[in-house]
Amino acid sequence: MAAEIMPTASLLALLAPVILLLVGGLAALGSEPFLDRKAKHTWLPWVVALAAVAGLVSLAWTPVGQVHGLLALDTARTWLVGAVLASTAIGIAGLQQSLSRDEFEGGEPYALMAFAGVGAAIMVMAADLLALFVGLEIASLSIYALVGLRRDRLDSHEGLFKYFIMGAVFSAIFLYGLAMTYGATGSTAYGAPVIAGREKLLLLGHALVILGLLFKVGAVPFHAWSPDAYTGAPVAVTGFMGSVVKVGGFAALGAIWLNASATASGSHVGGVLPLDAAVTLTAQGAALLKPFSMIFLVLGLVSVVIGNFSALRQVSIRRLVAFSSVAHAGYMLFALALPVLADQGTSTVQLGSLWYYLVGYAVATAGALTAVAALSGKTDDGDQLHLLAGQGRTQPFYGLVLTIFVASFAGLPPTIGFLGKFLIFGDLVGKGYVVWAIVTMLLAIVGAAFYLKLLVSLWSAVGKEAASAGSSIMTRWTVAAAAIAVVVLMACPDILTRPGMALAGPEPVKAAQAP
Amino acid sequence: MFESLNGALGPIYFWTFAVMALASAISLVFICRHPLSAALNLIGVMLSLAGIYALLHSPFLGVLQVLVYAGAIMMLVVFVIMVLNQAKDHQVPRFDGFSIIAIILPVTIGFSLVGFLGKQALKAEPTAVRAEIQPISASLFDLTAAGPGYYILFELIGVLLLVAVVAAVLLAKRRLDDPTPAAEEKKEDAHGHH
Repeated sequence: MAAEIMPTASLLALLAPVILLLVGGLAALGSEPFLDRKAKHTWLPWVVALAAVAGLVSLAWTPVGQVHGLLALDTARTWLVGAVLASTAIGIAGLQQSLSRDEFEGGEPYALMAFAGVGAAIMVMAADLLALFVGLEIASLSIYALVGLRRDRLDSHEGLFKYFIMGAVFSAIFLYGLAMTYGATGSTAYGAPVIAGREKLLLLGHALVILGLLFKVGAVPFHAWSPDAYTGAPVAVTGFMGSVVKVGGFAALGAIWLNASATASGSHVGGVLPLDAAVTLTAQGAALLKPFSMIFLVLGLVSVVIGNFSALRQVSIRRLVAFSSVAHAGYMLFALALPVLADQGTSTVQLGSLWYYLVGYAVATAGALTAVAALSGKTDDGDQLHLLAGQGRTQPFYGLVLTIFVASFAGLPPTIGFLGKFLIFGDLVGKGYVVWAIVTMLLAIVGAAFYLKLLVSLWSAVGKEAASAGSSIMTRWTVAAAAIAVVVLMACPDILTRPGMALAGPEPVKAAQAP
Repeated sequence: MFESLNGALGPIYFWTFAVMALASAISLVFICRHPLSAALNLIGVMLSLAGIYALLHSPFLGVLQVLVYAGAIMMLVVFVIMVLNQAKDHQVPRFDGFSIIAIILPVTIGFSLVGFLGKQALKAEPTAVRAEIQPISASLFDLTAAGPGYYILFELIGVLLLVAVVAAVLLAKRRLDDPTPAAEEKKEDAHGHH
């Protein structure tokens, strides 16, 4: 009976980034009642932001490994957790900007944002559907409350209500799929081998799980909630939810997809599959997964079309970001589906381009909306395009960083968004989907049109005084760091390739068990 | 614990619960005019299911069904119905355009489930004890390195509940700037409430 107890040290070492953020959130929540209103918006954001940054720094020392097959860290997961923590720090800065301007009567939102970051980080680290679900719910519940923060506003109520009701329904669908997967495999781990005779049940279970996740990442046809939820939320929350929910959702989708590839090809040896693994897909596995990846590809194309064309007509930056996030979800679905599609025989599934795109998108989104929060003046309605006109000239720092982030959305060269899109288009051409590549590129140009509209408005010579009442040190530092990251990660993407993670080059590593 | 249920009494209990569950379900959807009586029928369905779980040697699941579903969740549902009740509920037509979706979806899921499960019978040992409290607690708090590690999720669910409480307070508290409930009452009175 003397079974070995899980060593606390290895448990804490692996979970350190998450625990640090969690402790930051708890400290903010616990000290909130003892501070007066002004002090809440001065101190609590620093507590949470420093905790997030501490978590980010601790990632450098965090070992690669897994605990109990529930949670794992590998190179790709480390970077994605890093993106979540960075987005949390940036989002906190923007939240401080909005809430201290509105003299909001409570400090709980800072703690909730920290918890949402914890939930998203758990989603990324999850190697088991149960852990994924708990992380998903922690993130979702916190974000529901954050969307509804502006309680005196009707659009906030509308966004919260739509997001909450639809989110609850899709959580239930996810859970139903989880139950079926458990029934079909006898395990909740990703990629568990199916019990003979229950293949169809597994298929149905996986379909429902993926359906639930597609809702969370806001891909067409499950995008209906995103414009209202994004508009109802305070500006900084819009950026935060846009980035961390997408990171969590796509990390989960990618992990399930990768594990399914390995299991279908018979190369899954149990244990936790690293997200940066390259799985060799056999003909049998390719046949099983191909219909799914065609569905992903079609959904991706429709998302890009609907996202880009709807965004063209928007005047509110939040709505614009909502539709552009639908379009970005479409590009990421391409990155998810493409590795499985091969012209002949076997291929290698390696999701490096998805992770790269995701990290870049997360940092740029959180940074852009925090910059808008700093620019948008007395109320959140200042995010309308015509009100932003000329702000780039009055506040050149925020004008410059916002330009960098928007260039990254549009996929222009000196930013991470360029390389992300380049990898995806290159993959499309490489796999023989030349027509798709041309169509998608044309659509990306449509997308660039409304980003340009935003930039022209930002830098136009309207000659207005600064709308903003000044910004905090935290906002300036985090936004500047994000802008630097967006450029540096483009200049040397190799930083992302700690051992094992290849961006595009097929480098077949056997789907081995993580230590 | 449930030896006698494997004998002659088992089928009697099963049919009692099954008939109760079906009767409540049919009454819930087709007969009840008022949401409150529909909710009571739903409680009937859940209690009957709890009995069936116990018959399947999963007493813990049965107790949870009574506590969580028939107890907590249904109390919430009844509470919401009573708060929202505008006394016009029974005049709302039973079937409208939206019902089409509400019929198609469950029927589709039901048929696909029957299709899947009908072809691939899930074999289960009817007398094996499944959801007993002892194995559940043993695996939930199994701290060994080779164990399932559910204690981590248990801790995380603690975070989840905390988040739910904070979110509910943040969204539902009437006045965020006024920390004392007593002061709120006073304000209500001052406005001539009641």
